[in-house]
Amino acid sequence: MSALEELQSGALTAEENVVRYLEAIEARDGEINAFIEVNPRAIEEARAVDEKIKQGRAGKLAGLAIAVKSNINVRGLRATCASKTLENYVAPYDATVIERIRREDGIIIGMTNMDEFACGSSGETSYFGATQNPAAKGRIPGGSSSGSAAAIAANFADLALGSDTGGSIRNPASHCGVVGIKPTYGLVPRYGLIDLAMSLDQIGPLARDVYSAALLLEVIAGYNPKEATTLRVSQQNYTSKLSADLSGYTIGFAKEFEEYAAKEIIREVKHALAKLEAQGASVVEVELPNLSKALPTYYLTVFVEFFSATRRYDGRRYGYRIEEVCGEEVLRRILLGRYISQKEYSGKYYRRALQFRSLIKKEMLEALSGVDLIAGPTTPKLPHRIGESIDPLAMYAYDLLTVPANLAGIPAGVIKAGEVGEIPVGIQFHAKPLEEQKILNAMYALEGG
Amino acid sequence: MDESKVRREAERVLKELSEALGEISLEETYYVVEEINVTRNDAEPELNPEFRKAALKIAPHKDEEGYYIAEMGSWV
Repeated sequence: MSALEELQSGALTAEENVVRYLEAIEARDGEINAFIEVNPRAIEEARAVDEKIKQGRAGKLAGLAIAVKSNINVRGLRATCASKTLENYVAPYDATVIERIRREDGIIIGMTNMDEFACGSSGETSYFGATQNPAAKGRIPGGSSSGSAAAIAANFADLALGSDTGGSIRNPASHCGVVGIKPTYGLVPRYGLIDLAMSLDQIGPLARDVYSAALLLEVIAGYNPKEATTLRVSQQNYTSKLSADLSGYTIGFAKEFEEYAAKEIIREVKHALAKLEAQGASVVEVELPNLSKALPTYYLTVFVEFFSATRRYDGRRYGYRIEEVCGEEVLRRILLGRYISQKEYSGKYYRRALQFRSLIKKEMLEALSGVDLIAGPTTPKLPHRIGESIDPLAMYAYDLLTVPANLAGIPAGVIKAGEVGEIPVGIQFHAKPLEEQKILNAMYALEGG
Repeated sequence: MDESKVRREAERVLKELSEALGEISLEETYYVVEEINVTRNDAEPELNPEFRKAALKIAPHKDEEGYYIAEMGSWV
């Protein structure tokens, strides 16, 4: 029985649920390093939720323990972005997604580790030390939402929030064998998210099963009058529409995926597709001829937007001046962003990246026009061993198959497809804007309905 | 941290990514603009006398010509 079912049936109280996770964190997080800080008021908050449950007025997340990536503001807890720059920054307000979680009586259990300022794909660039992969000991959990994915895989929380700029939810979900969703750009409010690249960032859920991920997504999704970039969509209700019946679904698979992903990963993805075919879906080939352009397009965009976002860390308002205390990857991106911004009069880098972004977006939407979903691998290779020396460009290559969704603004979700030598491998589904339900249904079918 | 190494790597990263991108001639995809046009249409400027009145009403200090008097920042 899941925690949600136990809570709903009364077999478990919110306090018992939170206590068991706090005990698990205390006992095992020294080894995993998924959390930067636990919420000292979590038990007190759980007791208040138990009162509401007794009175029959609790929300749909009542009693569930939710871990939050450290770049999302949770009032009273530190939002460090896993950087020395913000190591003492205590959030003075709740991000919109946190307000919505609290409204539905979810309990924030703590702030999770991540790559510093979300700059990384391995979970190794944190000022607070690397996170271990609970599903593949000794290997990276993926990043940048490393702690959130690890917290779910290690059974330290029911649900987690991550942010995804170029795969930061989906990459660790794949490496840790959990469910992760990057929503359509604008579906989930970013108010209170400390940005990496504002035109690409989206907050999304990580969970151990599809139903829980759908539940958290429907709580956090929806228009926010504080933001010009949120979409005017009505209240979502993904859980009531979850269906494992894929009759009539057409799923595209691009042959280019085979060119860029390791053979053993492709093999697991194809096994998963065969299972979906058995459940009524038909699989057809689609083309993504400019897939290789997505990575340089993404990074040239990110460098500029990240440089702009970091100008507020000047040492006067938020702790330390970023350039004086940050790690190598953050500094590299600041240097690149500064250089490109200075040279931008020539339109050589950023403007060209924006043109390629149009191309990638057009290509993804065209490929999706004839199908319901595009399915493929999440990462081109298996997670490397922690501490292994990796060239920056080789590290960026982890994002090759996840960045197209961010560039196109479309939703994408990841669920475990299989294992290669006991290392989880995730299958990734893309859909048209605001068609998260189709992604959830395909993942639900794969999970076994 | 070896800053010169980071700088050298940054130069190489930029060169390789730029080369991998190649050339193209397409319209650019800009942030927000596609979703919402947040700029006003070009037109002749208009003066709203009510705005001046409302602003002066809440000004802490003003002179007889109707200008704000503000305290100079202590850090200047």
